Amino acid sequence: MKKLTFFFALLALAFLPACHEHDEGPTADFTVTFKSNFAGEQLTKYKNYPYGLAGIPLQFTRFSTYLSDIELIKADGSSHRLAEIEYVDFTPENASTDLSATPAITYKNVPEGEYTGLRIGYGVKPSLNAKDPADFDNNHPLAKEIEYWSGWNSYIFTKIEGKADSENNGSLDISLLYHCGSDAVYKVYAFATPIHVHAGEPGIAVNFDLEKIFTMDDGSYYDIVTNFYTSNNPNDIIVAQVLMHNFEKATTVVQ
Amino acid sequence: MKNLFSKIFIGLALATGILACKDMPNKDPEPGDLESIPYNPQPYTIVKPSFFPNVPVPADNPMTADAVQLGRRLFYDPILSADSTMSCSSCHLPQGNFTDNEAVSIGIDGIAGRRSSMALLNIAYATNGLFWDGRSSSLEDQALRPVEDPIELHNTWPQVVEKLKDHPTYPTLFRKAFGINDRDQITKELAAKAMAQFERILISSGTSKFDEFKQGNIDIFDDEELDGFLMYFEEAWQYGLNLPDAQCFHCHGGITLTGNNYFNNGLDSVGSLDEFTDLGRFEVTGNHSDKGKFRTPTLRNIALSAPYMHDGRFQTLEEVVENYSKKGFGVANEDPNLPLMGLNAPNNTLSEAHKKAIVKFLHTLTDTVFVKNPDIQNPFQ
Repeated sequence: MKKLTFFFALLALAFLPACHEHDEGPTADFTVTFKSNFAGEQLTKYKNYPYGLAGIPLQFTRFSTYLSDIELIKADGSSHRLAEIEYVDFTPENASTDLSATPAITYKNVPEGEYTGLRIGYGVKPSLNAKDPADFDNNHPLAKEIEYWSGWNSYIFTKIEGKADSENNGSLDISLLYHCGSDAVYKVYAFATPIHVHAGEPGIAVNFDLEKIFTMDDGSYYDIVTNFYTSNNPNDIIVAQVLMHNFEKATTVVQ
Repeated sequence: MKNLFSKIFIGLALATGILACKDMPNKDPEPGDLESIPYNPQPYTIVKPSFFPNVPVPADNPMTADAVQLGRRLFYDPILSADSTMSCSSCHLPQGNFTDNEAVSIGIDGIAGRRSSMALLNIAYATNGLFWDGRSSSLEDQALRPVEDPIELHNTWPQVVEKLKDHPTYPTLFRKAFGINDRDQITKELAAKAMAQFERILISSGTSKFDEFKQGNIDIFDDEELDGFLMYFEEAWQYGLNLPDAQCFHCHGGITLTGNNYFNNGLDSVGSLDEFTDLGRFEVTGNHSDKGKFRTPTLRNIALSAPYMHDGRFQTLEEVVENYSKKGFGVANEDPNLPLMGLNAPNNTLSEAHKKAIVKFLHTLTDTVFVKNPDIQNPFQ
């Protein structure tokens, strides 16, 4: 009998850590709102923004991005994953206005508490990028055929399209076509900021500032006249690397 | 005597009346008049190539064999039009990739529509709006509209539903498809559901030359077709070739060769967006910058779908490629991909050989197995 009791005690101990992982503390709905800006102003399609030191007119016509493993970070270094993958489209085709969309996604059953930051994977993480749209149900974010490029064997992580008036003479003479993809340009960035998750409290806004996506680390503006498109060759990812790198400083998280 | 004649007259009149009533449509059917007909819905598995994604099917309209057959019959039946002369298939014929191969379609009153009939191949995957302007959000909604459009079938749904109820065959078919108990339960919504189910089976066979190439038969393309493919998808680097980018796949990408997005693809030189003859997507969204934008059609079977564009202005694929090679007119909302057509070619301009190769590649998208599929042909023939 003693042996039997000991056996069951061992069994219970074995299951204890697993139970601990499913801490049944209070949870709350938590909303993340994604916003796109240019120099702090809500992005508007077809609007002329002054770009660079010369202030040449720059317009955007499309801005969408995949985000992977969006996680709330705890002080002890652990995290709670809100989403494995999201497709955020700031310029949806059913909009009645050129003002950019502000998609708000509410995550259920998020453990209440104090978090110290947010971590985001920019693009489609390699384990998912190894798949293709046919691998997913129709409503899945990765089922979008038009966001996949078979030539790269990759999703197009980010699409930024627009036009620029390089001579500042009223003619939008430069087409901008930045389609960034392939595992090599996937980035993960963490943003340290206090985030309180409690029922009834506001969620967070994740802002992407397109001006900063085109701003280099030294503060200079990216030469969009010379580098007006991303290469089709996945071995030539210089432009895509620059833009995906700049996403870090282009992102702000506020509650 | 006079009494006798009166009695005979009244008797004959009554008898005639009774006989006449017997031949008249059953205007007031008994409740449950279809219940004796078996209702055994069998799930319908949509046939598609293995490398195609699953076909989206709404939860409230599951595919059944009987509903597909009902939809097929309705699709081809002129009973839907006011004068019983035209059906959906009048403008969507299998041999034309389910278009009518006319610049614009003509309705029952001889009035020309504004736009060309759109191909229905792989229409089940079009989940970003239907019609050229995207005004319908589902096949079920789309199927309702041509019936009451005055320049198409110019009928009313109450009249169609009455004809269906009084028809010798349709009540039974509706019973088998949807389990209705009596003919009074036939509705326009059920008719639309059936037609939507039929349209969902209009899927590529996966046997085009392009499909065979994509499935690994890389020798199936000749050099010109391969060049066209590489320019279309901008994959010349994979072969170490120096070919320009044709920018096609940005709009006509994915397995169905359409993203079902909306673009101003550089057809008209207008001073302001208000000058477009057809305002396109704007009519749905009300967004000024959507003026002159239209939904991208699939390029699968494009060689069978002439003429081209929303107004059928181009008769040949050569004309289409030639127009794109002009890179638009600089209109405010033209897609930024347009000016990049021919990128990396000398002067960033496609040569005649490049254009020819692209057209030749477009012909590899032809899927004759699909258009000849007996399951999608006119059941009345």
